[in-house]
Amino acid sequence: MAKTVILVSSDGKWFEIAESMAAQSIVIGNVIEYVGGGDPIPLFNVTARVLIKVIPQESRRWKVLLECMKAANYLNIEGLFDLISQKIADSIEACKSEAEMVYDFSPERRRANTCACIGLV
Amino acid sequence: MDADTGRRRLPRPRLRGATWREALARKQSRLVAEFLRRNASSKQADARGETASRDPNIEVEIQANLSHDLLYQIFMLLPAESLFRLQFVCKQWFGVINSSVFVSSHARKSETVLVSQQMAFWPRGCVGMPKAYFHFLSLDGLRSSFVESSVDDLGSVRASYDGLILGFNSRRKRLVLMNPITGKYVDLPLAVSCHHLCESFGIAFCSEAKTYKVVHLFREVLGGVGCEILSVETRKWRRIEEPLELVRIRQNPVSVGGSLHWLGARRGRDCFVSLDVCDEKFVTKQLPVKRAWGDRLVEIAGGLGFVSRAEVNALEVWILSELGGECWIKRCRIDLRVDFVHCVPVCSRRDGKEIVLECVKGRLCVYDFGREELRLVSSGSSDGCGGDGGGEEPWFGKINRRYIPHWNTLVSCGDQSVIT
Repeated sequence: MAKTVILVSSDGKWFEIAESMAAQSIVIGNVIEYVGGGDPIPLFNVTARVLIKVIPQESRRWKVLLECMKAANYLNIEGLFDLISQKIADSIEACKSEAEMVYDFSPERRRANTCACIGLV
Repeated sequence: MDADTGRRRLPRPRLRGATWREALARKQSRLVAEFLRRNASSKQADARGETASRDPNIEVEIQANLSHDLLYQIFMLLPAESLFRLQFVCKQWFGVINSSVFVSSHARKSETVLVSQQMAFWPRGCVGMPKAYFHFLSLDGLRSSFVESSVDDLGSVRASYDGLILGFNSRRKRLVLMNPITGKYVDLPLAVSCHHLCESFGIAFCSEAKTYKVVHLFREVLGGVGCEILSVETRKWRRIEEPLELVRIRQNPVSVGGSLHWLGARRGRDCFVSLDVCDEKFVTKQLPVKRAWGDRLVEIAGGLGFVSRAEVNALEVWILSELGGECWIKRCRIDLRVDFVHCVPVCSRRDGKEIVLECVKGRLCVYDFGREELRLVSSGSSDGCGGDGGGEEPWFGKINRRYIPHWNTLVSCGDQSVIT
């Protein structure tokens, strides 16, 4: 599980997001680097309402992407559909590390190859 | 080889035969070691989370939301190596990737690579058996990649079709028809055995019997040409009648549309020979123009093409309009620049939009039919994997003779044995 940092908006709301996402802001990235994780990071100039819109929420981004893809498929917008499916394919390709993938089968069973899977299909 | 010999500028003696193959094997094993080391280090980098563009937990999101046909569209964009790993993510993905509809349509649009006829072994000279690797060259930039073979004692690759590779055991005891991506293979018996320079193999799919067939063309002991055919389902060889014309046995046949095609042997006889694997009969057909040096049959967009040399610096590309007939249509004419003369066609890209030509010293260039331009893909003198010292003999020379066009698919060859 990725490391998380806690951001505190100016009106006192706490947000917990993944460190890799927070590091997209250079200011927050610098704070993390010098202070270290663990302590909540106060942001004096940003209210909660704005912070929630600015922070990229990865699950929300993917949800939006997938909804767009389903809409493009239903409405048959070929260009948009191709663009989104290419982006998803590229992300899957970039996901090379096995730790990133959530498998139903454990690695040992996976290495036993299709013998295990044929029974389950 | 060694850095010292690389830097010397003395003229090197031309390596022939066994010494050439030895040099190739040494260089291949060095490339395998580099490739494995590079892959291992990139996996470590990923584990440390250095790649910024990845999104963890994307698999969970996609699993929850996508339907069968959307997954189908996404998977069509992915290469076969990734799909083989992805099929184990969940049952839905397994179902999509292994459905026969998906496998056949993915196979139809996968990109051509070149596979070396000589397998790479690594590590060399160790106590146990070295592992065998398939050596693939990608056509943009001649980058080498290696895939470990699930069959340990394969020595050479003889033919490739639909993602299946026909391999020869190094002690010549058996043939193996396997898919290098999935690792599934079938053992085939060996019937007539002769010197590897006097025979050629071809694979084609028989739509009536719904099985793959392997054809073995060889020079008989008493002269003449013999032929036998094997069906992967029955695994029995059958002798069939000889081709009416002498064929160029050493060139690999072109497998197009359920038939195998060889160029005729004698100059001045402008014909080629086709074997339909369903009715197992040889037919001699006419070529559009006279034979010349360096002309070849190639597969273009699922049909048969012929690249002939019109003049010293021009090539003509012909397409056979329908496989049953003999009507050739001239597709285009390629005018070669001075430094690209003596080009020999290697293969075409799968969508039929480009054709790959090999020039002297292993330089690869690609001709785009749409834009009508010739562009250099590789200079041929470096090994494409990080460069060598100058002066080393470029071993990519003879791409046309040492490499077979191949495309990576998830196709399986009938009844299978599965090895991890």
